[in-house]
Amino acid sequence: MNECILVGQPNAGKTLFALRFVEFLGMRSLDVTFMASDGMLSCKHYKVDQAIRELSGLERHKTRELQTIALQVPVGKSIRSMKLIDSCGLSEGIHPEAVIRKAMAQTLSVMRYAKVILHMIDVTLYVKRKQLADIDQQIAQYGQLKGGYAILANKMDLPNAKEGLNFLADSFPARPIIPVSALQKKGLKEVKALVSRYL
Amino acid sequence: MEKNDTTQRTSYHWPEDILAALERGEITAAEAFTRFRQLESVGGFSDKEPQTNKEINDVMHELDALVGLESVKKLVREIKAFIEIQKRRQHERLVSEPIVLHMIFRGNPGTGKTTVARILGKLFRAMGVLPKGHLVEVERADLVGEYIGHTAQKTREHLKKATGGILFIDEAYSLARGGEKDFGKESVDCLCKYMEDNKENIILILAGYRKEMEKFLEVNPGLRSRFPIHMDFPDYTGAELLEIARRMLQQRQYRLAPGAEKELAIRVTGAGYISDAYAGNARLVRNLLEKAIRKQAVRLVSKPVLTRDDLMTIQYDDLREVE
Repeated sequence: MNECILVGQPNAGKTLFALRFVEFLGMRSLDVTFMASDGMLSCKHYKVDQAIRELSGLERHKTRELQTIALQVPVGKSIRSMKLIDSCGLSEGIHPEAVIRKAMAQTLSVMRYAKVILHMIDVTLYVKRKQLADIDQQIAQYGQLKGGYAILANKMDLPNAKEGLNFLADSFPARPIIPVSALQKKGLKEVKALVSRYL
Repeated sequence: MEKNDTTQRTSYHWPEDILAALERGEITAAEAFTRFRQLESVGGFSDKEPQTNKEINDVMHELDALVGLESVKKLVREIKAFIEIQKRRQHERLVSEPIVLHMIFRGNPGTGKTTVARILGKLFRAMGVLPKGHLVEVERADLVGEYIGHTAQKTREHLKKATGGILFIDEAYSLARGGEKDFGKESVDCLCKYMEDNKENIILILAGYRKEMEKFLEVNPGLRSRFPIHMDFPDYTGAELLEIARRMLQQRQYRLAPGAEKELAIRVTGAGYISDAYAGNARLVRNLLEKAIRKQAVRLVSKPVLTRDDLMTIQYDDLREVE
């Protein structure tokens, strides 16, 4: 199975983007498999709207375990199977909660063998701040060792987002950067085209 | 600050160790990425602890120190590389080939088969392929019984002894001796069953003369696929036998007087020796030297005064007297 993992700092918009992507592929409902840090698996069926309400939110570390969605992606005339894995945000420093640390370890573990790594960055973080967060730098450096790696510059709907995007473009000149907006469902087509290349 | 110092000192050899350190809060996610990069891109995954690496290197040095056997050494290096790569592939969750290491050794007696088997046992233990890596050496009489049911019992007994290491069956072709009614076939069946059931815990090596082993495999076609590694042990050349003799003497702290050296060269490289049925046999060289050492002892024992040099030197007469 082709695995595509969404990674990034907490609150970058990974879960909402994953669900928008599912919606973009024409699905009205989805099965999400949750993998707890102790390896326990559970599955729940959602309508897309319900999943957005329940799984995404504004608080940090809303996602505390791996959430896998099995997808069928049309590539040319054929249909390819893929697993879209939403992951716990990778924060800077040592997180005080053991559950979050375990979930971050899970994220790294999957990144080692995932075929595609989509690195989601909240562009608004870099509107004023003109220095890359160490964690984003490290994800990018690790990602480039893998074949399928791209940066998704999220929250392009917010004011001054372009400024943050330019900063990212200057910081990662050799990496593919796709401007997206999970909220306004922008950039999904481009992401699908990129992912399809690796399926 | 103290924590950072600790992490700087800690080295991780497995990706799982890095993830565990992240879980325990010893390192940050960013540091974990750095560690992964170091493992993956700089030196490749070091699947082995430094101690294990040293053990493997020691075993390979031991192999390299053997005289001749170039094709065998090359094949052992291939096997070592194969095991390493399959293990790395398993770690990367890539499809990996099953590691089947049962072997057939073909060659005359005294050509290094048992020595190489012992080295392989050590190598496989160091690489984590076998838990113990010891060698159990058996022959037909140890495996084949005298009445119905006796063979399976004897064979299983030796297989159990060898579990975790290598079962080395010398003159294995003799298991096919005696035709259909012989109990040798029962032993072969028992061996095959056990190696299938315990494939990760035992390695079987069937050894014997080249021609006889070929016939043995023809009679038991199923064996060929079960024993994918075939090693040929060529007879030692005269020069190699001389080198072996020199090393044997050096290990025992003896040396040859100039006349004795010439005699030894004639003995091991001469037409008489080479045309012998046991040509190229290192064991015969060892026997020859041991006899010469005994002759030297007889020559020296009655002398009232002996120097260190006398005790170390094998004279021409000591060798000449050996039949």
